[in-house]
Amino acid sequence: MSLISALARGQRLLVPRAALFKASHLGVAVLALPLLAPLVVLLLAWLDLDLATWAHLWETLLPEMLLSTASLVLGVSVVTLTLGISLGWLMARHTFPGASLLRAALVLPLAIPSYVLGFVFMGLLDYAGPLQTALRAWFGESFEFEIRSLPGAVLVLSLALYPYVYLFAQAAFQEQSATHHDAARAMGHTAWAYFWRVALPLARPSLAAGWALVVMETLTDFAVVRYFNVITLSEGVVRLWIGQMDRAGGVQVASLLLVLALALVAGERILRYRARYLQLSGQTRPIALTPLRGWRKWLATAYAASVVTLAFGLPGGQLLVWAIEDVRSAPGGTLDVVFSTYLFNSLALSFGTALLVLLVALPLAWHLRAGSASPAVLRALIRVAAFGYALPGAVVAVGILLLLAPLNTLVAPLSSNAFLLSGSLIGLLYGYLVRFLAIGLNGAESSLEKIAPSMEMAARTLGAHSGRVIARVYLPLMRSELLTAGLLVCVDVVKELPLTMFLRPFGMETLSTWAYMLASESAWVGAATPALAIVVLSLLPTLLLMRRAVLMEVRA
Amino acid sequence: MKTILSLSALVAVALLTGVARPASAQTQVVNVYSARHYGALEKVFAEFTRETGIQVRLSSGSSQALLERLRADGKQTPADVFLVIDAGTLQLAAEEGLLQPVRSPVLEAAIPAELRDPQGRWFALTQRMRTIAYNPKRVKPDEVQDYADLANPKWRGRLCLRPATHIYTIALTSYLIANRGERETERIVRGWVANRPQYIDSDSRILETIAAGKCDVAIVNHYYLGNALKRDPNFPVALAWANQRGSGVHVNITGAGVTAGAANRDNAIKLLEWLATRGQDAGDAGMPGGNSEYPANLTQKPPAILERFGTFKADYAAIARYGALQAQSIKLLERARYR
Amino acid sequence: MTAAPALIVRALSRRYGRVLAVDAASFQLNHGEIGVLVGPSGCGKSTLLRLIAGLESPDPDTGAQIIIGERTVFDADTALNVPADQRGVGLVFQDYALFPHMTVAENIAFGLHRWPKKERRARVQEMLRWVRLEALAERYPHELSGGQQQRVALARALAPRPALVLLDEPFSNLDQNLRSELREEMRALIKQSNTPALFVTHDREEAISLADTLLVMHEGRIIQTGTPHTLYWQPETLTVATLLGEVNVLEGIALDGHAECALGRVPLVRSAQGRVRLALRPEAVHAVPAADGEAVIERVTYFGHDQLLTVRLQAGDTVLVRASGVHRFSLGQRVHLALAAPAAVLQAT
Repeated sequence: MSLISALARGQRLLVPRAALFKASHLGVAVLALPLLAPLVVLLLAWLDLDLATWAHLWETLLPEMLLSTASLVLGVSVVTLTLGISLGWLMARHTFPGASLLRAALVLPLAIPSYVLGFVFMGLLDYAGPLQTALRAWFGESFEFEIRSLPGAVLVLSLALYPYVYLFAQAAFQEQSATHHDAARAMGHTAWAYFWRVALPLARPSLAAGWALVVMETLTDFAVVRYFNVITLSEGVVRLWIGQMDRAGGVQVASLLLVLALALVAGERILRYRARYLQLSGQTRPIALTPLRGWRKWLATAYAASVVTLAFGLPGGQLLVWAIEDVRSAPGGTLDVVFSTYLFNSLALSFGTALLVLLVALPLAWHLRAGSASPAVLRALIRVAAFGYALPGAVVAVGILLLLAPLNTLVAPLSSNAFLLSGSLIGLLYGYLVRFLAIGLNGAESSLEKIAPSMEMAARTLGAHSGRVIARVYLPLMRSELLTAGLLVCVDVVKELPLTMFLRPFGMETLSTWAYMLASESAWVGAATPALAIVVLSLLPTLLLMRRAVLMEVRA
Repeated sequence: MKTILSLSALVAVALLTGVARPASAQTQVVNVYSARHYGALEKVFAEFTRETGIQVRLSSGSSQALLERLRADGKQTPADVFLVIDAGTLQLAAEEGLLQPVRSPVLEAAIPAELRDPQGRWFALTQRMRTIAYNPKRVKPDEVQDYADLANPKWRGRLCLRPATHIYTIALTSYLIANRGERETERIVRGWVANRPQYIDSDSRILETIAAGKCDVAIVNHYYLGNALKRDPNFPVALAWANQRGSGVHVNITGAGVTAGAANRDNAIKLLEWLATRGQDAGDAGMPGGNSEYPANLTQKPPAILERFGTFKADYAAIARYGALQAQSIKLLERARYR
Repeated sequence: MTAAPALIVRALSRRYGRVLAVDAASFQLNHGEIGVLVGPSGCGKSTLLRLIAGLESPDPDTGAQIIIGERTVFDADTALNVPADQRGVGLVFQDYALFPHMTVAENIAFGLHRWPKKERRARVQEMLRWVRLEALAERYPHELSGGQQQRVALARALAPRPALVLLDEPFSNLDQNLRSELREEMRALIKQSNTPALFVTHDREEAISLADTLLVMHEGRIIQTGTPHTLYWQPETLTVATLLGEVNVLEGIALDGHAECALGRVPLVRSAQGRVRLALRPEAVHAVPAADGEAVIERVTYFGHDQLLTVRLQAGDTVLVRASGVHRFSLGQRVHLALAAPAAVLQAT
């Protein structure tokens, strides 16, 4: 969800400003460089290349890892694109019973992290689960299907990730000009041909943005593939690093993963080449919603409703049932204490991170706004610093651990009670900052765009000093964007798993680590309570997104 | 807006200080890296705190992940006690100097020599047998007398196993290598793999899958069945002690050691001593009792539920080699395409 | 060339709820003719265009019909409604609607999907040559100027040899200077292709200069049809008169071919009797400086090529007079007024 605001953002308005102080350049560098450091440390792992490890990998798991990674990405891409495009099209161009409600409800699955959806589906759908048990009762003992498999992982990841494509597709189809439709129809093309030859190609950049998010999440997923016995590259990272104690090998496979993701996204861009997909200037007539009639409208309703049910209703309901069972069976009071502690930890971390991210993002965004007045190197530095979002959480964690380990030794003598950088709040917040800066930066940038330079000039000429300008002009204008960005960071932190697992301070459990620990032991009932809490917390900003979708509909 | 900002800043700072709450000088604490998180352990520690006033703070993770973390921490580790569910992991930690030797007459009296490090760097706290579970309606006991029996082609499509990533599988492989050599072990493992086993990353789900009728045979830790029987005395899965004609069933341990950098060394030793004595209770508040494991302290009675499993022979001699054989086991499993 | 008209529209209506966007519109267009639908925005002219193109369906009123060439594409009585993609109508849009993901050549080829490959390629080359864009065939739309984009849009619309081309405000996205130049070019290209064309515009100058036949639309109805000259000089209603340019409206008493009004006895375009309302273009009145002139100049709006004088008559009425930009008039100057053309008689409304 976090990159949505980023990627859906329009063109950036560059405001040339008078010469900036060199001091501010230094400040920006001081803020941006530490964000890059973990990435650099990671790349240094290639210096420690062990050919024997790779030879062994190639003989054993690597071919399978590559094959399952490719199959998984392909499968999830096909399913998410099919679901996202068809649903986005239905919602952007048609009306049918329940459409306005479903339009918003289709975003709800974003509130369920894939590692939660994965264990719920495992509990529901495996051989000993209720669905197959019921089906065996009907169809006889020989009936079975294997959920611990590639198709199982594709199903779960697709249901968890399709909203990314759906959101982008819906917005893209809604924005398209009606005259393109009319032109194609008048030139002798059927509605179907219009969809394939015009509407879909025009939506391609948006679809690519949504798809890129899906691919990143799929490539870096380590929980779902573990539940479903799919040995992907990210599972390989864990196997190498944790299983075989080969940290360098693990990191190398991890960066291979990263290169793969970037190559996919870059490849799409190159294929697109010069063609511009922005609508050309001029007033465009918005496309009117066509009502579906007869059996088609009921089919559309049934289709959208079943996706919502499968991806949200069913897992949400199962979590609720398990959570109630968990609360009932827990010995009096123990759950309360544990739960409130973990909830508190999650909330505190998310608020703290949101604030930190915004505090760092604002000056950087401010600097980017200066445009050509700031050195290109510095602007590039900031862009690369925001790159952490594309990195697997576990990889960022390794980078930070590697980076902080020598610093630990440095500060140890200064501290009386074994004060540590890694495994302290500082390390964890540092990790979150690297991962989630992009969200804050995009929020801060788009909020700054709302402020025309003339507004500042107007305020200044009316006699306001700079503090007053910030308090009375900037902040009120930027508030909603900043709050949204902050909220998105909050949710991402609550849902975040690998980074938290690796970097959390001693003895600190959060909702996500607790849920995963229990889920990985198949203690699904126990995992349900924290998982449900994560879902409920994530629903808040998801609802915010939904409201925006509804507003869009009202305008159209 | 200003008020909102400063308010949220205030809240964030307050919350973060709450999270970071440092142990005040008065409170006695002991910090534990724990690979056990069944809920039962929390009850045992609560009892320890009640008796000694020492707070126990847990940080959980898998045995391997915790070892990796301990390595990253080095001497500055915040952990005082390293408590994991595999003797091999403890041995590796000890070899790498991450654990310190402890001389404790209490521990030495409580824990038999084969269940602790000669230098006192780690001590077993419970014993767990990884053996064969089967569906008594479809399988006769004499069909499943040894791990090697599961390589018989008749189990094709009827075998459930835990994935290769789990330390249980790795330790079992090390035990087989220690007993029968690498070639014979690889033959057995390849036999399992040839039976197209269903890999399920949870022993309790494996038992449920046997009960549901999918698998007829599987390898699990004994206490999962013990716990299942505690909930449902008619749970339709039976246990067979493997390799009784040979060296005995594969035994592993829950064990712990004091970290090399332990800041609360005394409390850490107190905790280990307590766990090896008072904590060995066969009831729910004891370490073996809470999880249906066999006590490491042989003066203690095993939990009542285990009586129905009878007596058996366990291979204690192999334990000492788990650590050294770990890397070899992982490679063997990969070679044999065990997933 | 056949005698049948290129386009016949009969009794076409379109309601949106209670709003009547198009009200029983009927007209026809001959082969090789350029028709222009002109009217204020919101008068229903774009809707009418979309009805003809088949992008919207007319209300199924009795007698409603659309015939393109000799082919009936809509007939309410037989419930015939040929979909847009089978009507063979070319469309040019206000925003051109060029597909940004296709090159110029691909855009032009877009409507030729049913043509054999070889002919398609030849036709694209022909059209490129025709609009003088051969060199830019592989460019993308955003790499072209506004005028070039428009030429591509026209080439694309005409490439499949449509029986009719419809153009919806095609110049409104261009700046003023470019507009008249492109208008001429476009008109020449359409004439050259001999395709009947129907423009929609709200710009009077554009309408008059483009049209062979002008159709004035108001509140959903086509209120007057004719050549630009006829409509300019012989408007039947005040609406048409004011829509097409400045006009003096005078009350008078008519007797056959003449009427008495504030300007004295004026000739009429058609004979009338009794009280009438007259429309007289400023161009039809000449102002000649004369010390004993019966009128006084009250205001001068100077445009360079011409100027608009507001002149007060002795009786107190004012009259607009268009004079050549050569002369210099000053405020308070006395002039003598003379008529150069007859006045139009407006229908009483």
